[in-house]
Amino acid sequence: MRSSLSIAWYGYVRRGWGLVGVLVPVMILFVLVTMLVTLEVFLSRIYDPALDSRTLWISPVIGAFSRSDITKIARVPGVVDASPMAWRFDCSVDVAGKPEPVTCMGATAQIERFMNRQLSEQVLATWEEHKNGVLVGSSLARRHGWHEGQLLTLLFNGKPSEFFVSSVFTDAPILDVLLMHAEYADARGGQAAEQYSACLVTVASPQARKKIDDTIWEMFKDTPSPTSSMAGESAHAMFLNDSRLLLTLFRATGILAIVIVACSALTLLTLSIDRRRGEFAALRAIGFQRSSIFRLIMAESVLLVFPGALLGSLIAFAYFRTNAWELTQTVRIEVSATTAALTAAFGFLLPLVLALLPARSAATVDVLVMLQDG
Amino acid sequence: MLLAKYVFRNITRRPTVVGITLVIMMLTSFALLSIVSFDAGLSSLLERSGSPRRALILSPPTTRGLYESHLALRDIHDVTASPLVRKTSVQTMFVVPLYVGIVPEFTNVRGLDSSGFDLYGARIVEGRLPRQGERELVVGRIVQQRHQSVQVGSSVLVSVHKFTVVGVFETGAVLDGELWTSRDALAAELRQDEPSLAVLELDSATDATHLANEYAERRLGYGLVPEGDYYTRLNAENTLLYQSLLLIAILVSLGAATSIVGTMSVVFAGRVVEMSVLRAIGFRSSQIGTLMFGEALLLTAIGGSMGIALALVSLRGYCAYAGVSMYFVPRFAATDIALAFTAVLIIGVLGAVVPIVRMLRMNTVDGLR
Repeated sequence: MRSSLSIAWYGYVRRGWGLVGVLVPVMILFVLVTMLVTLEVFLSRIYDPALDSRTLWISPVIGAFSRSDITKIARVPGVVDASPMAWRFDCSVDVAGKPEPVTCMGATAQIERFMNRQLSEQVLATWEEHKNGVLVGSSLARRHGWHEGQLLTLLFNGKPSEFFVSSVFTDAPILDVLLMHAEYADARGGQAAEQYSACLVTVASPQARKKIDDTIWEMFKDTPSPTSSMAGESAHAMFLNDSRLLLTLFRATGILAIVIVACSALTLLTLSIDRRRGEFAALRAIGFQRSSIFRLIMAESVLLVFPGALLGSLIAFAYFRTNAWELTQTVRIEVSATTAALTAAFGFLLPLVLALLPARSAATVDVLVMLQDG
Repeated sequence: MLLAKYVFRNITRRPTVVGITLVIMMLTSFALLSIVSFDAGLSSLLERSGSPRRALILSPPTTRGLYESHLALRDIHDVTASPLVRKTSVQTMFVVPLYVGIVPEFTNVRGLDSSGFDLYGARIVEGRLPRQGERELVVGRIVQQRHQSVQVGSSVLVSVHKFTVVGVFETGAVLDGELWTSRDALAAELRQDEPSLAVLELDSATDATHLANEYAERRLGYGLVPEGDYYTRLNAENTLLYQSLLLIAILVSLGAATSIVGTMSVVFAGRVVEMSVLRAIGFRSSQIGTLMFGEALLLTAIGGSMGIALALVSLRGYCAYAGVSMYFVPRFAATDIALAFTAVLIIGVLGAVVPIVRMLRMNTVDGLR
């Protein structure tokens, strides 16, 4: 075992400057792979578990839901929970004398069902202290240069109201909204009228969802607020709408980076094995087992890819930890130590898988024929 | 001729290594051309949308979804009555999800009065226009292309009723990503008399700017923006997208270039004796250098061409979605294809420089040993 690793290490070190041609491409491409892994981890974390196959996103097509509408929905057989949600689009903020629109969400309803799984305790505690405190999504804060404690003049239908930024959040599904206490964000413009923009319904089982959806639609069809609905998974996808193109391209190029790394490593490994068949035969002749040769190739393969992968993950971690990159208004890339470790682990496993066939071919070399051929 | 034959023979002698190198170059050129074509497709669509002779009155006065805008007709009456305005079209907007699997793609439904259909110079390419007051709609060419479920004769749920698709229209602009119906029908469906926005047609771009400035001074809470400016601003909002694409392209190119350095180094290192023999029998360094560059260039050119062909074949006719009613097709301009091909050639040649120089500096006698 030790001798196999020593030979692999010796061969690796002997490459000298040739190592640059191996290390640098893997490193660069693994920066991209780390970003891709971060993105996937971010997406899986922020939407789970609020929107899934047991949820329905119900919105009134016209007008808004009243408190009694929400109660009616909650009483439909099979509905486990009906949480109201409120937001308004007629709010703007004074930026250098010019009104810039912002989307406000009524936080009470959100926190009950949708946001509470993501927003940290600390962020919530700070916000709950003051009624005129608002939580600002990091994307919005970055766009306007807002920071904690900053005073904001918000205009609702042109009427100014004073608020302050109690915290900037980075751990919620939507990063370009402003969360405020519900009484400011209802549909009537700050009069606590309890008018809601949507209702997030949780049902007992995914199978029951269609029937419940139809019941709710029938219930409101001829009222002043007919409804439209969306499956929880579709609502999940809805939040990503502005990012989907970029996500697709990112995923495609991330996979492409993995393929390029795999192709390069495979080429180098194949060439190296072809040229060293005599060496393997000699090693077998002096007592090396087939398993030792197999381990030798596996170790060489890991040495080809893993150092570059580790460096790439570390570079991505070092850069994106302090310079979080908001890819769009919904998606943020901030590499954590866990993600970097996960990517590096992938960089360790990938060469092991790649080397399986070449290692097998090197281990089964015909000793006598190779020694005769010289 | 002899050199060309020699280069060709060398390439065909090592199918595995050559194959893998070709795959790397192919994927690189595919990625570069795809990124450039998506970028060009979206930006060119927005650049050619919007007429300088038209202006929009909307609330809020930004590039946010037009369906979020609400106007009170009495507030804008004096503007629409201005002698500068030749024609006014008040429009009601709504948005519906069209599904690709479980993924909703939000698409504008634009309720137009009879003058609205003429305003955009739209061409009906299939079927007919919707009748005023009827639950009928026409679908933009690009929406029809992307959504197989939205064809003439099918129906789309708008609020609580189904609207029948009676035709397909084309404007050549971003509006091809919308569904159009009569304003009366949409207003009745939404129980909403007041429009979402008003589109004004003026004599010139100067009139549009003049009216926008005049309107800005009144501060009514609505915005009047020349239509061209609206789309320019919409395009500017995609800056982050374009920057991200550029970064991805740079990373892929760098990764591919350095990966080629590694591969070529090993390929040439395995041919030390061959190169030394060539020098021993009288080949000059420049000839051997040309030969090696020839190999690298040929491999790169073949791989690059394959990637470009793959991108052209697989992405032609593909329709992407980038936000509410923002459907576009990748644009393959000849200059972009040439750019992607040149970039791949440069990557290949730069990747081969280091191993070639090392090889040429090697002592012939040492090489023969």
